[in-house]
Amino acid sequence: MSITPDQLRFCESHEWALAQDGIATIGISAFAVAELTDLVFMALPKVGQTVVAGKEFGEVESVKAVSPMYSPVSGEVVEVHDALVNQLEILNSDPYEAGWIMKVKMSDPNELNKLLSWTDYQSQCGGS
Amino acid sequence: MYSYCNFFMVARLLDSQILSQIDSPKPGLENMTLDESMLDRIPAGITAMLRVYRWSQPTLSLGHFQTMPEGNVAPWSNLPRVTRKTGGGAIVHHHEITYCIAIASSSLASKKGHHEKLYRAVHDSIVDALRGLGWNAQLSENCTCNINSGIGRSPFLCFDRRSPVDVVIDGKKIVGSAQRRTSQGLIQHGSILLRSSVHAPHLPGILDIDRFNSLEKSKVSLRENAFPDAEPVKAKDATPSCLESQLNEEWCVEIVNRGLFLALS
Repeated sequence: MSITPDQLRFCESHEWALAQDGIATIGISAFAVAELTDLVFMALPKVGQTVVAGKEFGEVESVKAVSPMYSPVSGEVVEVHDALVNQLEILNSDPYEAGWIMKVKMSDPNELNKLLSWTDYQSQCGGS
Repeated sequence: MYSYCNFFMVARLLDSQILSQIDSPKPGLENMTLDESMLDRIPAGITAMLRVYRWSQPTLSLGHFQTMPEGNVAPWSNLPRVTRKTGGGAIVHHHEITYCIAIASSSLASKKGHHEKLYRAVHDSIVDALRGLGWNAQLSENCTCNINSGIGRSPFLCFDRRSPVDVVIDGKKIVGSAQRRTSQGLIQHGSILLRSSVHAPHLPGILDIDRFNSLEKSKVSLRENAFPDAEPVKAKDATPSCLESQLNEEWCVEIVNRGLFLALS
């Protein structure tokens, strides 16, 4: 079953999270991918690394800019989509499923409540 | 003649205030440290900071994720090296002027990718100024980038790459810029290539490229489109030696500020 954006929670900084059984799968939104235009490189976190909600966990380079990626939740990185670095075009075609970036074992699932719903996120993007 | 270190000025337009600094030539690491701290150093009430400088010795700056190609013996291979926080390709800083813009803004920080308006406004301003001096400058229509290019597959040097907002004269890239978003805002680095370097001899600078035969011809320029009310930057003298002395740090501050104000308006 494919993932649809209304199942996700979003940061204002355009990262998304999908929570299941205490694990949050994290990626960047289609809007962010469109803003980035030509993607060149992505620096990913390491398995075992601790990430903090609202803090930088990696960087993405597009043709003329380096942009940070911010974690929607706090916890320990338990899986990283390493193959994505060589297949960044996946982010264009399937940012919400095949384009996932990392999985985090959440230390505080309540942090999800601070994130935006799909509807609110769309409003933010429409107004930015 | 201005003195380097203490040359600061504040320009104001409507609600925007820009603090500009012409700095003395410094080693690469010092230049990068100063640029990286600019967002921390923006005084209250100032919208943006601009730092314009040269380098105390020929230096290679790598884009943020770049590494030196293995086994590469190029004219720039043995230069001192630094890594920029901004993206893009490597630059040989020799006969060139570097600028760094810092804009502190939470709204800029939350965005992803480049700030197109800032690129275009600054580069349009440079194009306009160079056309006023007689060069056939324009924005590049070409791009060497695509999603499948990858960091190791793009040309190594910034000035061998093309993106649509680069400044070119007769197809030769003479200005390139790259940005970085941070949690505090945005930094844009730019390099204005004045002359070819022995460390990258295949890349001509502005002063290596012939100008229009007629300065008047150049005044039918992009100014009418991009800067209809701006006073043209006039060539005080058409001789190459005078042009060389005109294309200095003060000129760069004036031209970049003009674009910066447009981007902030």
